[in-house]
Amino acid sequence: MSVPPGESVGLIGPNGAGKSTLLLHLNGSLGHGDGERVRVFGLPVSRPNLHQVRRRVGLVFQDPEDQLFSPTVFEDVAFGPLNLGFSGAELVQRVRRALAAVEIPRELEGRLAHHLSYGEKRRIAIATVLAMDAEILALDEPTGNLDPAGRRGLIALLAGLPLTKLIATHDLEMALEVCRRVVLLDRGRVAADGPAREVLADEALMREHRLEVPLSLRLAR
Amino acid sequence: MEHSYLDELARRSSPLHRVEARLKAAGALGMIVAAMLLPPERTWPFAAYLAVLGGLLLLARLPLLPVLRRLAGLAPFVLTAAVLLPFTRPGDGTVSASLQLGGWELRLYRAGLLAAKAVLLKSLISGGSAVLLVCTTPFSGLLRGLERLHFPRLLLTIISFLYRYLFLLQGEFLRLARAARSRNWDAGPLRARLAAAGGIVGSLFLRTYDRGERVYTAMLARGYDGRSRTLSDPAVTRGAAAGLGVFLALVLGVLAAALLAAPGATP
Repeated sequence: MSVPPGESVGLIGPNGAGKSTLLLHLNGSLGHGDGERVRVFGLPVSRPNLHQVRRRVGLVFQDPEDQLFSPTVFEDVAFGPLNLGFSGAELVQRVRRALAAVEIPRELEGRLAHHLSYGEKRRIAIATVLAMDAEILALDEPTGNLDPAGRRGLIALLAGLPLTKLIATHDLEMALEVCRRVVLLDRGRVAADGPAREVLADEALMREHRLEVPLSLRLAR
Repeated sequence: MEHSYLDELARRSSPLHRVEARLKAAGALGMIVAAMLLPPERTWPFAAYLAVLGGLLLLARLPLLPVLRRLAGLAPFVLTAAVLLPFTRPGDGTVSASLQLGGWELRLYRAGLLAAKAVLLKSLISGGSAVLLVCTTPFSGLLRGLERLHFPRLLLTIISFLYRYLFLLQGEFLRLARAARSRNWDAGPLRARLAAAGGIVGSLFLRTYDRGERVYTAMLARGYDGRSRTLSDPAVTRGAAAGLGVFLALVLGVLAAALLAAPGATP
């Protein structure tokens, strides 16, 4: 499969289909052999390109507690840019811009992420990769554990970010809303790839891969 | 216990809170080392140090009770030592007082009493300095200050991860324990209870290990290459640096006066 710049792709499939694995391969987190299998912006994901690839692919993990490990929110968002060599006013500006993009108010900068709400943690986790000027946003189950209002806010946020997005999720309604295209994975293989509305509406296909047609599509029939 | 509790006092505002963490850490370290070197025979240098700490406490505008409560954490260790020392350290054998209990004689030795006094006052001063430092400096600032003082990076990284994940671990443990209790853990036979407790500890270890791996992956994903880079910190103001100078001069002055005075003379 390949993804052109600017497209939003939903990665769907049953548990263990390889969605998270695919996301981790996008930036060489799971080893990086000859790098010929995965290419990002034409670059093979192999050791010489690893730093560039990791800057351009922003991986947002399923559990924000894994991604936010610094004593303050500010330091968490600054971690990536610091590793890229930014410092001083430019660093502060990057962090502030990223936090503003995910609508996190300035008061939270000095707080410990652990004590914020799940929705805030998820948005800060997204800010940590926006601060690195990521061009591809690779999100693992971004709406998991959010309350309906938090989920709605996140969907609006994702829809408004002008990046290439790869979203691994079981939230098929969200995939339908945010992604024009979905890729169905099962047992490590692409089982279907096409416009979200068509793939998600295919009842037999959905059932075969332990998924279901979203309620909104069933009602619209 | 929550982070908000840990950092609650440190997030207040006062002239002392505003002083850069490095200066406060250096000051507290100086005070602790000087207190350790004070000769226990004299009392006035200890009184002088306590007065300085009291003054700083006023300057920090901290409420007394929570500060004392933190200091009380030291009490079990200090008091045990202070109560046992007079009986167990004979020194030159001079007995200050003795007590007949049946066939037993309890002897209070002079050297032991002196050691007890030293333990009490020295731990009060060093504990007080540490508590004052922690109560006026948020944890993240303290870590950065220590880093600027060239503390070993690896150690600081470990401490900061501990601070970050301690409560998550505690929460995970509480959830596991709650799940065990909700299936009547406490009604089972002892063997089963111990086995379950072992299982909880084991799965906690596995979860910690897993999380460690995931956090490391998340760090790599954002360009971590084994070197820690940190934010530049707020500059040291001239006034604060001068304040530290005066403080250290006072501490060292008292120390010098106490060491130079004839050790045999009574204070």
